[in-house]
Amino acid sequence: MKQSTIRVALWAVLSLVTLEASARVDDWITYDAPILEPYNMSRLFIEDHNGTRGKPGASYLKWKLNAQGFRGPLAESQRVRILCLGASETFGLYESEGMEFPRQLEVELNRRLGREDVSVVNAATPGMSTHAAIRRIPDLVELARPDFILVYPSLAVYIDLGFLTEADRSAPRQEFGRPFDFEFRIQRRAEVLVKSIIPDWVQTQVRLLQIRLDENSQDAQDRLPEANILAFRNDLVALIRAIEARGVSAVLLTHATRFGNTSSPPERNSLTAWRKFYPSLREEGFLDMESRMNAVIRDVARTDSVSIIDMADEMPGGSNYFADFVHFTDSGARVFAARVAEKMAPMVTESSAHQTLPNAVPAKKQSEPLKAGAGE
Amino acid sequence: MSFISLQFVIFLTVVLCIYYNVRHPVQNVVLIVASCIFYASWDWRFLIPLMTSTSIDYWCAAKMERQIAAGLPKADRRPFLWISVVTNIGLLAFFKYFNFFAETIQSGLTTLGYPANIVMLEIVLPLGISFYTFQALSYTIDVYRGQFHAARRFPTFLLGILYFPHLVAGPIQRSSNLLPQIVNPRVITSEKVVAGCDLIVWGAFKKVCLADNLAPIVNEIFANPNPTGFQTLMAAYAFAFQIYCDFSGYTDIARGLAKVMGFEFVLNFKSPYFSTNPRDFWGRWHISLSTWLRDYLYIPLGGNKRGELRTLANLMITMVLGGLWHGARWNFVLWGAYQGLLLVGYRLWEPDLRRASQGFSPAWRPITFSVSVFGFFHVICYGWLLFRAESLNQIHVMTASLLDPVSAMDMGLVTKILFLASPVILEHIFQYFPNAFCFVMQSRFLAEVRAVWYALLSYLVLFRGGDAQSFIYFQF
Repeated sequence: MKQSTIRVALWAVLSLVTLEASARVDDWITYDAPILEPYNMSRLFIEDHNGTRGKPGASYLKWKLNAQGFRGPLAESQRVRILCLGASETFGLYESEGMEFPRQLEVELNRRLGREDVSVVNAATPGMSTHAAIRRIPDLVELARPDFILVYPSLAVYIDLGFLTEADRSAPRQEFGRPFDFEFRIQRRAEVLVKSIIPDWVQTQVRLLQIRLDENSQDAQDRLPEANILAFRNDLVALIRAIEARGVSAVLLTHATRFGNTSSPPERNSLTAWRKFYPSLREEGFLDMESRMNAVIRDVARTDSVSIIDMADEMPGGSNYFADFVHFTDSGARVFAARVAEKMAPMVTESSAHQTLPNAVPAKKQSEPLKAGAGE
Repeated sequence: MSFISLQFVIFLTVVLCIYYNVRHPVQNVVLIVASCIFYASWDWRFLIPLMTSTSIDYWCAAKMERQIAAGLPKADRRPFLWISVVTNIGLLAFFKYFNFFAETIQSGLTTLGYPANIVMLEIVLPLGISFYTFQALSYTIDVYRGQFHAARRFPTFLLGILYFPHLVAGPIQRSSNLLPQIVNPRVITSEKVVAGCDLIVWGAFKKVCLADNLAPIVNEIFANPNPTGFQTLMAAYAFAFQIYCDFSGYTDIARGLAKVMGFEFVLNFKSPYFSTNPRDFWGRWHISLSTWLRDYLYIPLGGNKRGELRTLANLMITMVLGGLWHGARWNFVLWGAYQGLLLVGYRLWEPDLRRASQGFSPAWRPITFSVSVFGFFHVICYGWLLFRAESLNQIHVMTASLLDPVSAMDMGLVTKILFLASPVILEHIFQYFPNAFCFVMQSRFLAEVRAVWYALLSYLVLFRGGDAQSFIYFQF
């Protein structure tokens, strides 16, 4: 009995080792990944005195960074340059290679202008908060020399202010894994596989259970506190000022979601899926948060006289365009890029025509001292 | 519910849990219910023609059995045989060939200057109808011939037809093989279960990793209206391996499933691409169909007993009908005719070929064998072009392109096809020279080797499969 148990255990271990070895060899063949070293998203990023930035020439799975540490090809020097700043929505998670919205924006703008006149630099980092972006501005402007900086802020990072404390406001590193962590690569694959074959309703029930367990350990709120909205507003204003202080034109984008302007009951599953990452805010709170923070973006654009493209309004919702609550599919990124290009084309044309930096925006009215409730 | 789906895994798990925990007669009931659920999961209406033909065949066979027992002459049994044949062929003709023949007649009349408007039926072809009608026919014909006793109970015969591992794409089981296994209690040993698992895992690998990864290569070239000769050649190679992996993968899974439930199915493939001539090929490819055609069509037509000319005609008729069995399209007829011509040609020149091969000393045998295999593989591949083509025009275009097979060569494509074909080649070597590899099966650490092997194949099936494609033979 004891011997047979040992044999079964041995078979289990052998199977597991084979599966893990297969995953590692597969990564090596497919992505030229190291077999023995940890292989996770942390390979794409490095820490410096200004926080997290892309590691030049790094690659991980489908993601590849160029020699400047940005996703996509190097920007052409003779072109109008647009730098996209944001988090995973901008960096591109679910889109195929070359289909993330900054890449499609470049294609679309050049198509509209009828010439290869524009280069778009994707300087986004998954999990990057608006606050973290402020510190990166000097380096980014120095490196990419952009004419425009397109800011597509990720809002969910402001759900947990504790997470955004001064000590740890650069970027949520735990999202990337750690460079020295051992992890079973087969586990990641198994998770993706299970997710793809288990019916949605089962996954939703499992998530609800996990959320319920999380709720037992921490308080969940129905509505994002005003202090969080205020923190976002402060960071956004500071970011705009940091950009414009360097003679670059900022263009703000409001945040689009799978729900468009409405919430339809069949799509509630995607809210539950999203809530799994942010258990402290209940499902209804996300839509309210989006609405209030987008109001902040509009308000800051108005008071600081910054160009704004209201993508929350422009972008259609639905599962064709969004892989989850906020991340685009290939089609979603294409539609998003097309709408942004439509609004940006005149700005780029004007910039090319005057051959000056297009930051001659109307006289600025500095934002009023920050008050609570601006996002209401 | 395809074999390659989560639903099937759940279904099978539940079925096996129940099956292993009940005794013999009840096991059959479990399998009948499970098979009905399996078949109805595609479309419950498919059960109607199946149940109809099965009931009629059972009744006909029972009547014939009674006549045999009463010592009545064979001629008295003939009406019941005809009822069975007409029912099965009628169902097949109605569902599978009605529109094909109607279209052919319509276009023929139009060409002759008599435009006609024949009504076409909007019907769905019941899954596996070609397989189960042939199986049912073999049963009634065997009973008619007195070669096999009719099943005493309807559930026995019903399970023989309905048993889910072979229902939709074979192997076509002879009643003499399957029905005794249904009647008698099965012996399920751990060796049998392990052998079954070996087949299931290997079959899934061939289908998901090889066939489904070859499919995009084949589809892309066949979608090109003007492929180069090189592309046509690659498409033929890729399809040869795709169809083998797809069909033999299905068969392996079916045989494996049967084994884990204590059944034994007939072998359907025996390293077919190591054939050296057409006769050899049909003894190795889709064996359950080729032997069916031999026993129930070629021999009743007279076989080789009525003179040389009649033998050649019988070969042609058998193979053309065999081609048509695959589907109601002219390219299948053409493929059947091509196979028939190969058999006819081989029959005519076999003595010369044999004499020529005997001219070589035994030392040359490996070389002559390799050359024969390589040469005949290309002959088979051309047949697969006919089989896979979507129109007669495409066959013409692709055949013409083969006159220049080396222009615009793409070594990347060659490497990809070779990479995907290499497990098949190894499998062929393993099957062709079983004694050379028996040391693997005699290893002291066979269980450990198997654990590693299963894990590796499972990884490839789960994570390196191509986009899911339906089994090719499901359409037949």
